[in-house]
Amino acid sequence: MRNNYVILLLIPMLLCFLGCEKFLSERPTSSVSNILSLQDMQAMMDAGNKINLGNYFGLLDVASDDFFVGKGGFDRLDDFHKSIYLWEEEPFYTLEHEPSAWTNPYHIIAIANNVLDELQEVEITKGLSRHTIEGTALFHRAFTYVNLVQAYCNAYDPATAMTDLGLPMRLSSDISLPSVRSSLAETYRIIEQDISRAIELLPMNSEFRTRPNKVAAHALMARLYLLMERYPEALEHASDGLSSYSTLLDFNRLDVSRPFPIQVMNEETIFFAFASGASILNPTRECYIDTILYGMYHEKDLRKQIFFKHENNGYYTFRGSYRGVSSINSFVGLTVSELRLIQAEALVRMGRLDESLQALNHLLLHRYEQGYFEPMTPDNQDILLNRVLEERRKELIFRGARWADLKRLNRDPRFAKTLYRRVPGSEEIHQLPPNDPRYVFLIPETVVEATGLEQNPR
Amino acid sequence: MRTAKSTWIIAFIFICLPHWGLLAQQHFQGRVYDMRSGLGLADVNVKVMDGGNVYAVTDSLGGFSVAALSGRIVLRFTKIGYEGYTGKYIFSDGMIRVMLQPGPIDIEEVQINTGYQWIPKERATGSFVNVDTEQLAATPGRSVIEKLDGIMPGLQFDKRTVGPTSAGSPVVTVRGMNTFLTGSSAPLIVVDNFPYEGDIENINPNDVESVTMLRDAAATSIWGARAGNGVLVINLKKPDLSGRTAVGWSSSLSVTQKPDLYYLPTIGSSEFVDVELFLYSKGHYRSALTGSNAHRTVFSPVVQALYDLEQGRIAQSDVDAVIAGARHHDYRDEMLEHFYRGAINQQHHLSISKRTGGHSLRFSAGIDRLDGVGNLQGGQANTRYSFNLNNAYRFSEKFRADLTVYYSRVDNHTGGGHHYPFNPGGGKSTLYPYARLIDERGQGLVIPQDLNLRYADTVARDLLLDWRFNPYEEINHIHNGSHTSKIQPVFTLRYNPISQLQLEAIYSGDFQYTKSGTRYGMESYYVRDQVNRYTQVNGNQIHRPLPVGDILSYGHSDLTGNKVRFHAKMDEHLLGNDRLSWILGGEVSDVQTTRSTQRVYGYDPLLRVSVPVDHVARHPLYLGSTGTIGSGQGFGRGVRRLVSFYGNASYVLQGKYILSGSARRDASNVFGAKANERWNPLWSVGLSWNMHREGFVREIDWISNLKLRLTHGHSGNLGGGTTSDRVVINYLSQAQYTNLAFANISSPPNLFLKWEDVRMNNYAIDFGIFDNRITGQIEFYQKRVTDLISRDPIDRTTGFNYMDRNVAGIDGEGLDFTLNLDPFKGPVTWKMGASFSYARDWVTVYKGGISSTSTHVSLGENSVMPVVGRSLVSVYSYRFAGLDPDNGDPLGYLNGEVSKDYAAIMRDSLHYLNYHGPARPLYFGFINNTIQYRGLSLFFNVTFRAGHYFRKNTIRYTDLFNSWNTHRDYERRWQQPGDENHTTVPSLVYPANSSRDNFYVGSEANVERGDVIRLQQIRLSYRLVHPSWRIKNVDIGVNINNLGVLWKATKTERDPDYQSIPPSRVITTNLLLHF
Repeated sequence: MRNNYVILLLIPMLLCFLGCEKFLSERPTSSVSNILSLQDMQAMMDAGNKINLGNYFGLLDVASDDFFVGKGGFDRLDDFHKSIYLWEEEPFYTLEHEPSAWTNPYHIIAIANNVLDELQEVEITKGLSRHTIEGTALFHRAFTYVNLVQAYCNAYDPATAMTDLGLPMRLSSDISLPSVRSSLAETYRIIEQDISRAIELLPMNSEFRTRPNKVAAHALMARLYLLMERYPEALEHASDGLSSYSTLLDFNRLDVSRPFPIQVMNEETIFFAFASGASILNPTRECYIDTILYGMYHEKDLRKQIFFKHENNGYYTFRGSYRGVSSINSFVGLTVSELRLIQAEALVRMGRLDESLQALNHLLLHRYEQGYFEPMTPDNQDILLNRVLEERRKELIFRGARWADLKRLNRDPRFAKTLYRRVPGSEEIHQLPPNDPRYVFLIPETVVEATGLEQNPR
Repeated sequence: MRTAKSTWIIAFIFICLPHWGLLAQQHFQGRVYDMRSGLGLADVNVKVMDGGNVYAVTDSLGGFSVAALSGRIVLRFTKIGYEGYTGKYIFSDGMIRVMLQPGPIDIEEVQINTGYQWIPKERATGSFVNVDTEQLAATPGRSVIEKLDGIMPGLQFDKRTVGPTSAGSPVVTVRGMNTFLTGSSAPLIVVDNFPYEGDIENINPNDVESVTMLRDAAATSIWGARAGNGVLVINLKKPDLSGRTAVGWSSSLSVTQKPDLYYLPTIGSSEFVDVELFLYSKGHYRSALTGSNAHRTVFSPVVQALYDLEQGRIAQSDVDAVIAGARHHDYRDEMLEHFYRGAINQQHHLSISKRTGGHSLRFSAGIDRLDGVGNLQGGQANTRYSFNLNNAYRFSEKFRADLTVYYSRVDNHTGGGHHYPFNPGGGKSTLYPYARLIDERGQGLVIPQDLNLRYADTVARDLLLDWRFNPYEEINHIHNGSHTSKIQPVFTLRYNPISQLQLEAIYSGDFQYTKSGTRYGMESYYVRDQVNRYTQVNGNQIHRPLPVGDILSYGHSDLTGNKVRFHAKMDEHLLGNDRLSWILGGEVSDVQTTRSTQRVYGYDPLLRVSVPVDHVARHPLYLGSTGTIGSGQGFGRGVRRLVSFYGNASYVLQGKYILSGSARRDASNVFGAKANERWNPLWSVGLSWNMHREGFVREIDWISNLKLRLTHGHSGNLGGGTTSDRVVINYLSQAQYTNLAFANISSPPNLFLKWEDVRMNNYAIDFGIFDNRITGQIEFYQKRVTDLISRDPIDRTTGFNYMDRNVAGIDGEGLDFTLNLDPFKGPVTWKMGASFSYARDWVTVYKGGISSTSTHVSLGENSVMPVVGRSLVSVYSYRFAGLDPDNGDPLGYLNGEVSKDYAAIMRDSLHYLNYHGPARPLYFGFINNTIQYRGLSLFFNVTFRAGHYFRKNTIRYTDLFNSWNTHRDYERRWQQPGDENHTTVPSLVYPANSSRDNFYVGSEANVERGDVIRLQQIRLSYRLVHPSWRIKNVDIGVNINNLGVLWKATKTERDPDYQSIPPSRVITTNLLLHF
């Protein structure tokens, strides 16, 4: 009889246990959740703090030849930035520097992978489509890989791409999968595939410049094909993008008296993004524009005033960031001006000089003081190409573009260039000859140790 | 509105409930005699065995009376020094007569509460310690937990961050630390059967009957996954079932003295002025005084005067006057007089207990008021109202119900008072010591804050609001208040289908509501500063995006808890000579919290209107740059759900051998569904042997009690963080540039996570010798914490640095020894209670990131930084090789050689650091003495802590020069060759070198042993019995707390138990009346 009571008591308890799965699936905190809906996915990709606002590899400009550092600024740098600046063979990544060089960019890829892997599982949110979300995730993954490939891989050469080291391509959210470096050809193939799918999926317009749209995907594809030196395709995507959106900032309309005349989220920006910060690029810490480069701007070129600030010691610092503030983070987003330059370069390389000139003149008309710009006339191909590349350098200063351009152009003996860097406060000169292995950054040693990834040669 | 609702509920309960259950009942009467002498025996506990906790106590002649609803009853009679007796009685048999045999002394008829059931201590195999009403009443304090310090054996209080001018609260641990999460090492607190949610200060300690601490895993495993850090079970007072009507009144008044500001080892004003003169002569202030940022830099009056002299604005005599005035002034005097006050705490408590037929009732009401919270001036007060209503109904012999309602309300108000020292900002962190806060007429004076005082004085005076900070005026301009009300109904149904088997259902509700707010008056510096920062001046036009008016920040939070428990229990089922008891049950709990916060500008407290502002735009700021006006908006919701099944059983073989076991299984919503499937049940087994019942021990007269106990068990910890088998995202508001809500990944999919496991073995001996004049307990334990959730480095190419995994472990061991002496029987008695504990733990496995060497030195003392083989919270230092005899530079070691490369020493491997030992005591305990003569008793409590280390502060020249942080070691600095023989304080160098300072601060020269013995409390009290016919007894007492250090190992002035000013002395008088 006694046992009967116990059984009576246990029955409701067992029933409860069966029904408690739902009871226990309630999220513990309202702000913490699993990915349940497209809204959650959109929110993950609106997290600029983890994606497009300061998480891309940010040392490309640090190693470039667009600037030099005064002694005071140099002395305040930590050893890591000094070694990058001086192109030392084995910069030592500290725990502090490793994330911005490796984990943070790969975190963007992780966000994209988690979205892509769960995309079919989640609920539809009104006003959002799976297509847009998928396209956005693919865009972010591809954008990040395009950024990383410029840092950790050789310039693309179809002859060696099958054997050159590419990036470890993480395409799944499963963290237990090992990381292995793919070939450079495979790396580019996957990026190309992601972008072309993104072009299909993304809508023509997006509400914010921090969210990619079809124009941004075309622009990214144009950037990729330029890196691959596939000019007809670069031209095609640059033109496709420009046919939908081609507003340029007219520098005549900017207020030169403002501390930072270029405003954030201006209409020229197609996709807003900046890389992680490097204290060496701080204008208040003696980061001065290379004097030869400064001299290359025409007196009537408004960029000379708008991009640069005259300092008391006669040098110039940079104030022309598309972030609209003084910044140690390079703006690496996509703009109409970059598309015009890709268009001009592709056209000239394809021998279509008139059209190339037209594109270049259109850009410069927005950059020179009104009434002073004399449209250039067709010349021979070499001169025009030189001019296009010079304008590219002048326009895309501190935009993370120079380093990849140096790598790409070094492969052409006409443009190969040896870089020199003087150790501030001494007579010691460091050299970086064309095609030097140091053009490829080392993967942080902690990552190599933990994963066995193949390190770049030195 | 909530409050009104709760009041209404209370009123309803008052009116309706006492009329239930007026059923016919029988009064069994009887008398208990001593078998040897034949005399009536007083103070025998009479327990109605099938009546839950129904007790009676015999009167001085041995008489007793218990009520029962039927004509049959089973009673158990127990008294210390006598063998217990159980008998069945029928009402019609009339008067009950019982003989008790003096025998092997059973002092353990104490009942302990595990939170699930009351069990006789005799039957327990695990480690339980109890503190009773009397001990609690003798210690002053606003919260129950606070009262346990120094009386609960084995409960460790780390009060290093506590003090009158510091905001920390004590870290309470049982048997060391079992988790890496600094904030999660506290034991589970259970109040009347269920884990307590909210602030324990909401419970009036006068309503607490006793506190039981569950120390080993056998005791705690019944609490499962939340009990890894031990459990404190707080039992609230219940109706007195013996039938007498009792009324009690207690009042106490305590005064807390002002804090001892001069305890802080700063340098005197005169020396400070000398340092400033020296620095000025070196041109230390030159660039700041002339720089473009001078208006945002704070300078002292002396430096400002020197600069004015240099600029020809004032004469030398003016400067001399400023210096002379500064040399003999210390603003601590003004603070003590005008900013601080003695705090007065009053506690009044009334309780009434009454039985009418089958209904028993206890009602209590308490009011506690603390005036001068934090010892600060400015109407700071904290008031707690508490009401407690208990109803116990006996509907029939088999069916009973209890209804308890606990209501409390806490109102807290603080003003704009400020603790010493001020932080002026503007590049400094501590105000210069000769600041003047009050003028001759008692009016407040301005001091620099954030801005250069001269700039604040002159900048656009007619356009901006006064930008100066007057700390004395500020006291009345800020109002900070919070109100919390909490109502907890508990409803219990008990049904005994057959005697000894009981089915119990309990519902416990918890409804808590808090609103809090801070109103910065428009006169306050805070408002004027905020308004000025956003003011846009255009010629003579001004535009204020942030309006002039009060700024009000407010918020609400509420908590709703619903908990239900069902269980069946069998109490002492007789099987021949053996007894079996068991309990089996399950419970479900759901606790939900919500909160919201808001901030409005231009608020008018009379009209109750505010001015809308633009929270989106980036406004240009007066001092440069741009900024948005914060809306302070936030919302949140939390849900904690737990489903548990539990059971335990104990088998008493021949009254000598006890075997016990328990098991529990929990499932919660914390980790997601899959984690629950992986959860292993937590279980324990225990064995105990009542040796004093064995013949061979009985022959030894002087042993009255001897018991061995042995247990092994597992309990758990929920661990920290939120992770799940799927990716976890965390929503945040206001993304940069878009203002959208956005989500970050807080953890990648985590497939194999489970709860932390704390395994403990406990070996114990309980003894009583010489007629229990000496009793005590020795317990030794070993613990092993496994599956500790900790960061585990993973391939960073995954986009994550670490993942939380069950990878770490801690081992520990310890000893708890308690000894009670009660040697004399006579008019003068002396009782001593002593507790000695040893608790050590060390990390066995850790794979997470190791902090840098310098971080271990600077922060190791206060935070958990796991290093394998070492204590969780440890003191490290740099090896120190004395001072350089030539210039007084501190010397360290690098690569085994004496070195001055401070930066390299601080970067060196952790391996080369000195590891001194734990920062928390290895040994701790207390000794209480009570000397009693008739009604008069003197109690004093001495506590000790030992085996740990601390780092004393010392001079940092960088701080002295740049942020005005001073230290008296400055006076002991190396000044000339030879000084290195009697001091370790480096010479003053200009410019200061922060690496040199950091090296010396972190060197072994500043590490001291923490061993300390302190006199915690003295109490003198007098008890008057039957002073008049209505009053049963009267207790009056005087208590002094925090008397100070009796002995310490360190020769420095610092009190090792506190990192800042130690708590002030508290003097309490109290009065207790029992009717």
